[in-house]
Amino acid sequence: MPTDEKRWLRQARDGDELAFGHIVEAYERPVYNLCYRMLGDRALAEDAAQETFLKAFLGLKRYDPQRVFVNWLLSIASHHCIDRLRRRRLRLVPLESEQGVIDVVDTEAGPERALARAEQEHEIRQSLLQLATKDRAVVVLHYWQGLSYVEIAETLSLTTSAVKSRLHRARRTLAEHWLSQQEEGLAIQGLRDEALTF
Amino acid sequence: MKHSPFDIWLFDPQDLHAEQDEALKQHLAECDSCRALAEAWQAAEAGMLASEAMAPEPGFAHRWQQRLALARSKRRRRQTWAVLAGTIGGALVLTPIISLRLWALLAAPGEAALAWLDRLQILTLNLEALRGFVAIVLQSLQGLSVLWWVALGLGALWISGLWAGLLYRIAFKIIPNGVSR
Ligand SMILES: [Zn+2]
Repeated sequence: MPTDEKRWLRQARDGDELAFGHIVEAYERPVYNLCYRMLGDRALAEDAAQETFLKAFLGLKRYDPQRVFVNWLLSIASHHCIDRLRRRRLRLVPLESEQGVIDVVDTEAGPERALARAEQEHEIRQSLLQLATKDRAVVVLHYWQGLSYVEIAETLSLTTSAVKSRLHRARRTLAEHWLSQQEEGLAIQGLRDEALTF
Repeated sequence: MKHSPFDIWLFDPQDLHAEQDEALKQHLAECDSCRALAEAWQAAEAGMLASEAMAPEPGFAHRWQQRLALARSKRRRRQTWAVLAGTIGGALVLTPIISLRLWALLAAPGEAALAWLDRLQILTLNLEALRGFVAIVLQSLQGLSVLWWVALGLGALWISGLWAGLLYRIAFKIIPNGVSR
């Protein structure tokens, strides 16, 4: 753990919210990304990430310094999102909330590349929403946060074998969804070609 | 065609032994459905690996400070309401009791006065008994040194402090940063 982080955590534990502000700045991105991938919506992700940091600050005395701090934060965020999805049965979000995906994609690489990436992000978002909530959390923690099976198990309060089987199931679902999207794309292309020949 | 265990292996080819890997490759060369699934998975995984972590809108930490302040003011409001509700509840419980007593006094002033005299007598007797008890305690303490008296005084002070602190915590339940859990 970096020394700055140790100091901020010590001060925050004594109620120093400015010190915790540095922690928020340091980890806003991984926490927000997890919430976004889980909930599939920028506004909901902002709210969930904010709530995560609030819970972390208020519950800082329960944090075990032996654990990697960011993993503790991700654990709070995952449980918060899973809980939220369970309560609201929000497996699929309305289409109008998809806006904002394009503006986060780097536009410096040129408009075509930016558009391609935005499309890819849209695909990923749709694929992730096909997964059961805990499977989705496993995938995000593995692919975006680079956590090991053991770390994911600790973060989500699962066993390592449960993590492996959830990851396997998620991979299959993602592959099948990708395949069905491809087939759908080909079918649309076929209809277009047919229309053009007439 | 039998797809097991290749339809499981194809998702984790890096975990396979050399022979398993060879067998998987052989199966994929022959089986269209497993090959399509393997290719789909490779594409889906590549997409996720290329995808960067999303960042929130700028000013996230500042918005967090505002949210914390809001949570604190909400907490204070809740406390105020709780105290108010407690007071009103207490008043609601006490009002009928006091009213009944008052009614008894107004209905039959003589009887009520006698009942109060009875109570006063019992109270006097109790006080008398307490005085006797204190006298016995004081008698037994007479032999104690000044040091003992200081120790007893400090002990009493400590217990009073503890009691006051406990009352304060129950009433306000404030944690160091002033926000409820
Ligand atoms: Zn096969």
